Amino acid sequence: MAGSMEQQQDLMAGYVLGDLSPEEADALAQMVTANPALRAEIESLQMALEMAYNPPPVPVPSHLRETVLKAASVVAMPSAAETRDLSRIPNAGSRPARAGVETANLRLWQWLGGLGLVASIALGFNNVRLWQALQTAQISNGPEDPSDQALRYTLEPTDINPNAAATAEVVVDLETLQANVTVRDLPVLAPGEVYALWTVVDETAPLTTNERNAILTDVFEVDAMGSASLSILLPPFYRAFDQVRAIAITREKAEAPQRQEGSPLLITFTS
Amino acid sequence: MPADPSGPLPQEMTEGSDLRSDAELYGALRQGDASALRAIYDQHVGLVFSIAYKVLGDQQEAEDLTQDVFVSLTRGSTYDPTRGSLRTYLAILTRSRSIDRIRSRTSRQQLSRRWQSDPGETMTASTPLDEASYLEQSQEVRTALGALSQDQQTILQMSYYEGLSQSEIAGKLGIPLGTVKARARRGLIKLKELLAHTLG
Repeated sequence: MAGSMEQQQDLMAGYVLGDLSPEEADALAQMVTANPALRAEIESLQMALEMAYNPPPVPVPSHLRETVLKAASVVAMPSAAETRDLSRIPNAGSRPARAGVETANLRLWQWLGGLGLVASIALGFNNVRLWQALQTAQISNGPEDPSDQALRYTLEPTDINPNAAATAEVVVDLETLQANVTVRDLPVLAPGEVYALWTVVDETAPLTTNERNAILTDVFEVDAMGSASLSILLPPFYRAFDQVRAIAITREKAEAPQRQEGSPLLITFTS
Repeated sequence: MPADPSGPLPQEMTEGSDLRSDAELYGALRQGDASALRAIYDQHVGLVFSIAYKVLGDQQEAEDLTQDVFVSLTRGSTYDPTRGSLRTYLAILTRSRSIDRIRSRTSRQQLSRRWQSDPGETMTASTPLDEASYLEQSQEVRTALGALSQDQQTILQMSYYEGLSQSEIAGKLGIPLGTVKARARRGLIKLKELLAHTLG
């Protein structure tokens, strides 16, 4: 079937726009088989679209090629048995998934499945935000140690922190909700002061927070080196870590740290 | 398997020397052929990186996103080579993910502003779509687009530039799905005719 010129143009435009139905795809394939010169027409349509809507080209850094190929090589590829005949791909559409997880790996998904969070995703969870949260919260979970299911947050100094080397790490065991907090190089406290650890949650989270959407999670003091190490039990909402937006440490009056009068000295944003 | 509508790209669009078609390359990629990803990268990285850089305005972020886009192809992407061209898929995917990143960045800045009352902090005033609005067309392209009907311009913009599905466009414009498809295709055909001189 050669098809009329109008039909050919219509199908070729549909191909370039990525909206062919399976029947149209078959018809176009037959047309191209019968007349390979149509490929040049398809290319012209593609170029017209790109001229109208794409920015002028910018030079691509030469090192990027190796970086991309190396990154791709560590991602699990499907086996040949899993690969479908492209002519039998169901009508799933060829437009990109608009909120796909960007660089999650198989271990991450296995871990999510273990927590039952895949169901949350299927119910409308924002995958990109989830992944961004997980990029900050590095998950360790190896088959060599199944119990090692931890979220790891690293808090960085803010501009008002007098010591740029200050840092804190919060490691959360998701099974027990036990958190180990390690703080280094914070300013030494004056008498009557404490440091407060805050968890900032999404404003839509069904939790009681202060006006900054923060929950006072713990208070602590540091030694003469500005260091502290504490183990605390976190509230259950930490399991649904999509609700956690930031973790911060402020300097407060020991008599009423809940007033949150200080600004963050260390903070990490999880999404 | 039906014949593949896509063939080797013309010289001005080809950034590599592998002459396999979209479907051949994508099929080989899904079989685990590393050379297929190299070829796809070489052919399309200019397109992907340019869009990412233009939307994000940051070289490192553009590099990260370019990596994400190509790596995503090695997993179960939604691309169907029988239904559309890989370049269009990659362009829409790149723009969509770039805008997602800007939205995330803006959200983070807003949270940061609430938590750090630093008077020296500068905030991004523009919205993601403002930042993504970068049409830099030649006079000839502007004239060609101006010759399309308003509906055709709107639908092509929503489809290719904003990455909306035809169902979404139909819903937003309140017109039947078939009308959206027909107007998009006619608009593109007319655009190609109007730019024929430039396209050679």
